[in-house]
Amino acid sequence: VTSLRSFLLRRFGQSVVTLFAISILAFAMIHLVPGDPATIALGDNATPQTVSALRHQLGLDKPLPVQYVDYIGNALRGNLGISIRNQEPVSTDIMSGAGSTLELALSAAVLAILLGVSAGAIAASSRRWLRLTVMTTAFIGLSTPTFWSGILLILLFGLTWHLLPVVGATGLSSLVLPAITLALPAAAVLARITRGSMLEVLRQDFVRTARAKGISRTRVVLRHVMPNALIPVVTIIGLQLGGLLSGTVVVETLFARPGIGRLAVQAIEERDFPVVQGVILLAGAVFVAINIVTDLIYPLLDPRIRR
Amino acid sequence: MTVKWRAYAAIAVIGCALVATLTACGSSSSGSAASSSQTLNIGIPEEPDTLDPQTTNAAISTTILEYAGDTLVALDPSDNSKIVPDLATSWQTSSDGLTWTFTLKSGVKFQNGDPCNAAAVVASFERAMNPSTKIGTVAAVVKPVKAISAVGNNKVVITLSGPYSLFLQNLANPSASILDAKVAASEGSSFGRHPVLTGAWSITKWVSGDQITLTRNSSYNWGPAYAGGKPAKLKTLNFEIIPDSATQVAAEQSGQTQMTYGVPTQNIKSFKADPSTYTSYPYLRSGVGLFLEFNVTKPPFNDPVVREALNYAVNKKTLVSTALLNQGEAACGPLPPSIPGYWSGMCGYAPKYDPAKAKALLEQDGWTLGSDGVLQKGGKPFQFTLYSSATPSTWDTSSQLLQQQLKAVGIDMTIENMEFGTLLSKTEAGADSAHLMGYTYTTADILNLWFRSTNSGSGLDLSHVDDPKLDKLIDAYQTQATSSARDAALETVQKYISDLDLWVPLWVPDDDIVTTSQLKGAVLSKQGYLVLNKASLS
Repeated sequence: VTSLRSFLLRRFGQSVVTLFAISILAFAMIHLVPGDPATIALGDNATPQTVSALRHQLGLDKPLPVQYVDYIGNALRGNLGISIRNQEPVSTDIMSGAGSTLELALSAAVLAILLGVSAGAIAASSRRWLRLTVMTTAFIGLSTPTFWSGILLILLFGLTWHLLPVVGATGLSSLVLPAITLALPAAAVLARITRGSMLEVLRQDFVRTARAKGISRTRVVLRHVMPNALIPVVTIIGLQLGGLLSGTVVVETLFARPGIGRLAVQAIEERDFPVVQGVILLAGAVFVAINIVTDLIYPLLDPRIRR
Repeated sequence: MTVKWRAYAAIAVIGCALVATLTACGSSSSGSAASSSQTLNIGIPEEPDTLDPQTTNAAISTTILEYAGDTLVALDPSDNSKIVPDLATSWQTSSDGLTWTFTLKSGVKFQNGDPCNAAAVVASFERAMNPSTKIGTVAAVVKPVKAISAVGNNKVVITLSGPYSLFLQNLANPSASILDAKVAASEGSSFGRHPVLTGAWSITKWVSGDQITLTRNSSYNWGPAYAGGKPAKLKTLNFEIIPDSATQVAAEQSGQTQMTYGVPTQNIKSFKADPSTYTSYPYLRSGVGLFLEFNVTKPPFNDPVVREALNYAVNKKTLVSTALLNQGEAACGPLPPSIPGYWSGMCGYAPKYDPAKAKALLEQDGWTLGSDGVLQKGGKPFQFTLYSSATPSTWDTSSQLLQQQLKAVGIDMTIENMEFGTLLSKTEAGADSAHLMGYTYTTADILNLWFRSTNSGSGLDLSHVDDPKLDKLIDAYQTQATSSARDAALETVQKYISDLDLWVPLWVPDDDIVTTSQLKGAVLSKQGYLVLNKASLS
């Protein structure tokens, strides 16, 4: 118990440092990109006076370190600033997209795990032609960019068969195509990792011993091989969840779904830098949280790690 | 064996579940589409910043406000230089052009039932003139206004600080839509999410990143004559925000949207090829879609002869046929034919493609052809970097064609593509030698925004021209009291800008609105939107 506590404390400390680094990067990046947000916000009719007034109001005329300290102080109090684009609090913009993104990322994650792990397991324990088919499909899935596979799915299910809506976020039906598009590359990675890991475990002595003791092959795979093979898979699932979140940037734009990825693209294009910073901070925090949860799952799968 | 079979079974179950979800969902969505014949789903490529007419800076807001708001005067859909009554039935101007008196239609109400009388119109303008309101494009409308007052219940008097030739035309801009200033004051910044106006549809719902819903205003019996004087036939307008152009086309083809704004150039032909399913409403863009603009403060383009030579070196016809697939025309001057005030003699006046003349001009200017095929002067080769953007693809194709055409006369041009926001800020700062740029604007006042020397550095004077004569000519057209005097002054300034060779104007594209052929009664406005008051789905 003490070791778990110190482990948790250590991980938490590391996370704070990571988040601090992310916040500095986010802040620095947005100030290195050319384009003055005040000028862009005010548009073509702005006079130099109104531009300098807005720069002052946004604090853009202060030295960068002061701007950063102001920013972090406010962020810790939950105030991520005001969007230049629509004058609403950044937290409002983010919250309005969070539900939709979470819905998409979670359904894609479930889909990716189901498809990936089962495909990997089949490929590890079956005939050559099936193995080749599964792994070739996985390879194609891995190498296909989402903006292309998404368009193909739209053509097939939206235009040719008229089964599913192409755009929007109304109802479950509009979730299907984006979720599949987002899940495909992650599922492909999981299939490859699962297969490799299972093959390695299947070769080990205890598997032969178990079979020699007369336990059925199904039981050996499910009770002995799977738990051992799943540890690297869980790590990859954690990483892929982060990947799914970044994938929403493309998928949400492609399928015209509201969400955080879409918000990020729009904010970058329009130099709405308070929103960009907010999204980067949030994405960083989510990534860090996923990593901690992944670390906590290991002991559940492997008793040796608990000690 | 058993393991394999179980594995197969598991896959089969997952597969079936997926198919079941797909088909079940598919049928439900097609069912709802069939029952909503009074709703028109309209694809738009971007999301408005705000729908508060006075604070928005986005062109897409203007399009939506055409449906939701009314202005004092409107532009005739078939002739955008003709001004017709909207909320004002008539207007008079004093002989010095400084005092404008508008007589308002009676019985006009805001969408919440508040009366839209003279006092309300005055309050709406006063909000835009209040320095604490962060106004957007409406700035061009209220800039010349000195004072506004109500006379009785149905007369409004506007006094200008000087004669301003484009005043009436500017009043027709949707950014000058009359809004309920009382509600605006009480709601603050959230007013922009559901502004209260007087138009044929009211903005009832806005889901960020998804759609904006407009619902029919059933008491609407005012508005311009072309609106028909009664409520619209379509009950609901759903503006679906679809940023990806391929998805936009797919949504229209799948029937999920029945109308699309901003159809990508490469897809226009496929819609036009199927007139039984789609109706296409092409119009010449209200702006020059692409031009090569020189930074006149830096060599080699601080030399006017070099700028003139480039104007002879470029074959615009090839650009129009290859980059635009002939969906548009060559540009000749700073204004397109679609903006009132365009001088119709421009194309005859401006330089035409003549590579021999380009070479001769450069030779007279001291440039000699080196052994590597590149012109040289004083030991320096004629090399420059063109700042541009790779999207849209029409820009990308055009910049590559330019590169070839300039190479033919001995100019070595390198293309540097960047994202549009970066391009704009780098050219504003004058970091470039030359760049590609384009604009869309409603009136000839773009000449003031683009060429007046005070807009250099932080504004749109991206050529950084600082020419007192040009500034004077711009003042001259702005301060004319009559439209004929204004057009004469505009002709002079267009000729002078062409003489300065600040640009190589390249092309003006045809933009296109595509609808399902079941949409009947829609009328194209030359300003680039569809009038839908009398439209319905058959």
